[in-house]
Formats: sequence, C-alpha cells, structure tokens
Amino acid sequence: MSVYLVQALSGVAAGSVLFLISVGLTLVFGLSRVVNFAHGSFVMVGGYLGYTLTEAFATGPLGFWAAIALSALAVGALGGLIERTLIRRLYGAPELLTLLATFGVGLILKDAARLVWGPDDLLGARAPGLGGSVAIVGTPFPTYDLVLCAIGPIVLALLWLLFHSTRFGLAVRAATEDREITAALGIDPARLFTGVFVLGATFAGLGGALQVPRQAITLDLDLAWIVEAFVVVVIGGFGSLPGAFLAAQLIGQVQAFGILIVPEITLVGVFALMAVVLVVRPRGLIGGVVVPVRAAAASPATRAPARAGAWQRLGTAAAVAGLAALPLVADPYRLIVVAEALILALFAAGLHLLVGIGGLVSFGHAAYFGLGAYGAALTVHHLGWSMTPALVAAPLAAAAGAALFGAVCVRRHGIYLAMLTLAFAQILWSAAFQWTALTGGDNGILGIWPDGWAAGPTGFYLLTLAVALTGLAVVRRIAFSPFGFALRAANEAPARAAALGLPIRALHWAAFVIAGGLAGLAGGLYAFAKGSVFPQVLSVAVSVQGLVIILLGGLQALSGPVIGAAVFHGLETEIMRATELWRLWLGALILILVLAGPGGVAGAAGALVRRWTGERERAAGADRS
Amino acid sequence: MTGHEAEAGRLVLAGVAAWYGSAQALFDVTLEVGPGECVVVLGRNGAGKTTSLRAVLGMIPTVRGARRFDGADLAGAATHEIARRGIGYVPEDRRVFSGLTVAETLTLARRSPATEPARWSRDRLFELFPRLAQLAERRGGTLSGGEQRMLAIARALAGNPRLVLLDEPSEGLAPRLRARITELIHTLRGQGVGLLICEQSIALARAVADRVVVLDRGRSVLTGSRAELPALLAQGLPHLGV
Repeated sequence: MSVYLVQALSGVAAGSVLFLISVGLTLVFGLSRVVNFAHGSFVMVGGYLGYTLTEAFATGPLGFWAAIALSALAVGALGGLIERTLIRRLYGAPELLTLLATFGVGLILKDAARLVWGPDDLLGARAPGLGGSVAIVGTPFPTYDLVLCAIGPIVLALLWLLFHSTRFGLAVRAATEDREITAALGIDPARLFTGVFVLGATFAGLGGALQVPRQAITLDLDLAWIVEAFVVVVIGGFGSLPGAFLAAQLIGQVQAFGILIVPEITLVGVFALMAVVLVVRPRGLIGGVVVPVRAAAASPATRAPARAGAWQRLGTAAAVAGLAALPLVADPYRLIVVAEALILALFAAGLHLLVGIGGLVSFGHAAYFGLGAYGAALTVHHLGWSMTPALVAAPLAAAAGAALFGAVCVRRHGIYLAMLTLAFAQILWSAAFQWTALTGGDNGILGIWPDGWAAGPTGFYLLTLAVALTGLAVVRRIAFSPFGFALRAANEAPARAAALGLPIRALHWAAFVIAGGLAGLAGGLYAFAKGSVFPQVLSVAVSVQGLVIILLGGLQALSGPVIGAAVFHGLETEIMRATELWRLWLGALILILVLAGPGGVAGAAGALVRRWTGERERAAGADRS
Repeated sequence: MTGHEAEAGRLVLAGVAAWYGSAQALFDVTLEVGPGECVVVLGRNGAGKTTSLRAVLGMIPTVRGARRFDGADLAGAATHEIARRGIGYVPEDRRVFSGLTVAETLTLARRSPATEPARWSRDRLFELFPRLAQLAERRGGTLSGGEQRMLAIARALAGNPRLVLLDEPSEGLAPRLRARITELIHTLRGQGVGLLICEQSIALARAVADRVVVLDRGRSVLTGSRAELPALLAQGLPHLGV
C-alpha cells in the first residue's frame, strides 16, 4: 500500500516541476497566440545556471535557495531580452512561422549553452539539508521531492492571486480575450506581452534549476521538456492556468504509475493521452481560449503555383540532364551529398503539398519519414527482404500510418492540427525508443545495405535520382490536377469550397496519405543510404528540417522544396564541416528566413510585390466596414 | 480665446481616409466634436460609421488625413496612447471580457483624469446602472445582451473620458434602457464630455444630437445642426437609404 502512496507522491513532485515549466508556455500562448518552441531552452539554461550557481554558493540551505532563485530571475531577464528583440516581431504571424522562428531561437541557445558549459552532462550536488529521505508509512521518500510537491501548489496560488487581484493580472486576462479593447482602455499590450513572457521564462528557469539535485543537466533538456510542456498545454487547455496545473499533475501520475504497470509504454501513454484529449475535447480539460482558425492562416502564402513556361521547362530539362551526368564528373563524396539532398527534396515535396498547397501545418512529418525508414529496415532485418521489395514496403507502411493518423488529424485545424501531428510523431518516436525487441531502441538497426547493383556510390545515386524525380513528377502532376486545385481552394476559402460541395476532410485526408507515402519513400531511401536506422529519424528535428526546407525554397513555388533541399543540405554540409556550432548558424538562418523573407529563395521577389500592394493586410481586415 | 483653449477637449477629423490593406474604407471624413457636444453620425450599413470611430482610436492599419484631439496630433499614436488622452470607446458588439467579473472589469478600466476630480467612481457607475451592482461578481460572459451593453458603457465611463465614442448604443435595447441612455447622454453633455455617436436610426439623433453628420460610402457628405435635421434628412434620403 505504502508503495502506491510513495509512487503517487513522486508523481505529484514530477507534476509540480512540469507545472512550473509549462505555465509560461500556456500563458504566453493565451495572450499572444505565439507557440514558443524556445520555452524548453529556458528550462535548459535554468538548469545550467542552477548548476553553476549552486556549485558556487550552495554551502548551506540559504545559499542553495538563493542560487536557485537567482537562476530563475536570470532566465526571466533572458526571456525579456528575447521577447523585446525577436518574439515581438512575430505577433500575428502564421503559426508555421512562429513555430519555426522560436525553434531557431532554441537552436541558438543550445549552441550558446554548449559554448559556455561544454558538451558533457553535469551532475549537481544534493540540496543542503534535503539530501536524505523521510519514511512515508515505512517507505523512504526523498525529502527534496517532498519540497517539490509543495512548490507547485504554492506557485499556482501565487499566480492565481496575481491574475485575480492585481491590475497587471486583470489586464493580462482581459488582453487574452480581446487585445484591441484592452488597448482602448489605455493599457499597453506590448508591456503585457513582455511581462508575461518574463514571468513564464522565470518559472521555466526555476523548473530547470530545481532539477539540478535530481538529474544530470544536459543539452537535450530543452527538447525533452518542451515536448512535455506542449502536452500539458494541450491537455490543460491553451492559456488556462488551472488547466496547466491539473494536466501536469495528471501526467505526473500517468508517468509514476505507468512505470509501475507497463514500463515500456510510459512515453507512449503520455502522448496518447494528449491525442485523445485533442480529439475528444480540443479545448482541453479546462476550456482554455478558443484559437480562431483564420482562413488561409496556416500558410503564409497562398499564391497559386504557376505552370512552368517554356524557359522553365528548358531549365528543368537541363537540371535533370546535369544531375544524370553528375557521376561522370563528381567524386563519390559529392555523389552521396547530392543523393541525400535528393532524398530531402522528396521528403519536402510531399510536405509542401500538405503545407504549401493544402495549408495543413504538420509538425510531425518525421512520423512518415521514420515509418518509411523503419519499414524498410524492419523488413530487411526481420524478414530478410532485399532492397527492392523493402523500398516498396517503405512508402506503403508510411501511407498506412498516415491514413490512420491522418483520419484523426484532419478533424482539426491550425495549431490543434500541428499539435496532433506532433503527438503522433512523438508516439512513434517513443515506441522506436522503448520497443527495443523490435527496433533495437537507442542502438538502432544496423546493416541495411542496398542490393549489389546499387551498392556503389554511382549506382545508389542513380537509383535515388530516378526515385526522387519520379516522386517529384507525381507531386507536380497532383498539384495541377483537379485534386490539387480543390485542395488549394479548400485552403484559401474553406467556406466557399465547402459550399461548392468539395469534400474538404476527404481532400485533406488524401493529401495526408500522399504526403506520408512520399515521406516514407524518402525514409526508405535514407535507410539504405545510411545503412542503418535510429529513433532520431522520427524526431521533432526531422519534422522541423522539412518545414525549414519548404520555407527556404518558398511556399509558392513547386520548385521550392527542391531548391530548398539543395540550399539547406549544401549549407548544412558546409557548416558542419567548418564548425561545431552548426545549430547556431542554422538557427540564425531560420530567423533570417522568417523575419526577413518568409517567401523563401524562390518567392522573395513575389513577397516584395505583395508588400508593395499590401495584399496581406487586405485579407486580414476585409470583413470590417 | 486663444488657439489652445479652442482645441481643449475637441476632436477634429479633417479629410480622413483609411485602408484595410489595399481596400479603402474611408475616403474623406471631416467632422468636429467640441467639449459637451453630441455629434451623431448617420449612414447606412457599410457607409464607414464604425470605421470612422476605429480610425479615431488608431485601430485601423493605415489612416491618412488630420486627426487631432485636445490639441494633440493623433497620427502615429497607438490605440492605448490615444485612449489615455481621455477617449472612451463603446463598441457596437459590446465586446465585454467574458472571463472577468463586472467588478474586475470596472477595476481594470478605472483611470483618473490628470486634472479634475474623477466623476465616475464605481459607486457612481452602480448608481447609474443599479443592475450592474447586483451583478458585480458575475462574469461578463454570463450577462444578458442588455446587461453587457450597460457594462460596456460603464467600462468606457470608468476611465473618466473627456470624449466618448458610442457605436450604435441603442441597437436592440428595451425602450426603458434606451431612455436611460438618452438621459446619460444629456448628463455627459452637462459635464462637458463630448460624444461621437454612430446610429442607423434617426430617433436618437432627434433626441440628443447637437449636430448631425451624414456619411455615404466613406465620405462625410452632409453636416448640420439639430434644427436643420428635417431639411438634412430630406436632402440626405438617398444617402441614408431610408
């Protein structure tokens, strides 16, 4: 019996920390509608600062707690700085751009932390005076965790007071509902944004610093925590303070008892819970703010891709001929690099169909890339298939997965859709990690080599080229088919498209399956290109990579994914060769792309024209008289 | 009288044009509201009445033309800066904060004027709308339409404004409440507060307007005093669509 009590208590402690970490994310989202991917980085920085400061000052309890508080405040200041310089420019931008830009901020912070604290895990000291344990009905329980159990409710109470009995709190609640009317009362919304952002970063930093006595501080804390914080925000309801507390405690308990009952699926359980909540109660346990789904809000540019003119056809033919002739001149290393770029182009082309044309922002497209990669690897490894049937199985596995997940995802729009796709990708990622009997877990599956005829660099390059070009031709064909036009219509004017009798959900589902299949094909090729598969192919980083590529190439142009993949992979390869700090450069690149030219390389000129005519604002304001 | 005194508490719009992106909503709106003066803007749907009020507060992306209040140029000022100069706003669709209680809303909206004593304390507002006193702890979202209208007006008054912008204040209200609003408008005028009111019906204009401005397709086409109202209406029929 006491075992369960202790397990429940450790769930409460974990829930407390999770609440501290998530509360800022939900408050910032409620007020500004910005999904801050960099929020997890505040936890990471809080952890590192906590480590350094407790090492320096924590000779006694007073020094320890002062160090923790100081870390939190420093992270709050960092948050304020980032809000003032970067986040401020993103208010009102489509969610794809805010997600990407804040992801870029996270990359930069990660490399900054690596520069300051180095790549090794850091193990902090126990909290002075709290290092032991107390007996709970005879079972020992860490004293420090008991303190954590209390901190969560205390912070909830303090925030509740702040939001119900101070003018600042009232203003934040009012502006969360109606920013314009709040401003008409003489309240400056920008100051509220900064205030809430600092508040959220402070608590995230506190949550990170409080981890110092419990776990090693690593550079991976950011992604680990941001994904869990997303789950809390979604389950609790976007922008809801009590919702975040409830959800954090719920997840704490699911994890605590999940370990007791089925240790293999604890991670899957959490994300499955999120998916169920999104489907059944999209507004969360305690209904948070309703996120309006604006027409065409999902993609920043809905300009129709133009059909190729004679020059473009000629250019395409020349490019294809050049690529086919490449083995005659290029060395094996370059062939491998170009083959990888082609795989990325294929992956991004499907995503472009979904995001650029369909307006469905998938934040978990890695799911289908990974399904393809694992589909190929598993058939080779467990069934002894050769490359050709495995490469057929890859897209089929991914398309089947996309058909299943897509059927659920297309019932939601905007940020809810993005979160659902992320949840499904994370479920697969967790499964790949924890189902070691099938996937080998962290050790991956090795020895996935191509058949003899495609084993050499030239052979595999030509195979990749043929498959990728076929895939790209299919996407092009689809984009200019009646299906493609219907998909675009459903993106630009959903109400009118529905009134015309277009089956929007079915269209979106079909786009999901096609994009999934193409990603799976790319994933299968990738498995054979690398000779191995690891859970990382299912990670958020891969999903974001796909989005960066289509953004880099430009959302309007069908050639966008290809150009984007070439530029991206070229830059990545060169930067990674030149410097350890490739994340920093990639993050900076993303920020420049989002802030300076969301049209991408291929669409930069078009964006200039649109800014000139002010077309974007017309769409936003046309409904008022 | 010096030029500064002439401008005190006075709103001046001259040749105002406004755009939502590339769609032009206002072309040429010219009007003035002096202290204690009630100006009613008439016009059919889509004539630009709401947009004119929003343009005063800088709620529209692009506004050109002269906008002055209390001697200060409003060009380039943010909404909250304009509001702080002493302008209250009652939007057409009420837009009460559904999650804040009546008492919280009034606390948030309270703003004391820099010079004169605050006229609209919470007690004074509850005297004006006794129903709101009974509902003080209820959330805005749970109020009826009429109650929300009272709260929206009280919210604007709590800032002790020197000019109030009212968008369709009597639309869909019970006659008794409509009479209360007419009475309130007279009170405000007596306090030297200016009023700029948008209306579709001419009944309110007949009852309270010092002057009437007729808008048509984003232009102020006719202006006159209340005494001239019958003549204006006869002349303005094609613009009003009545």
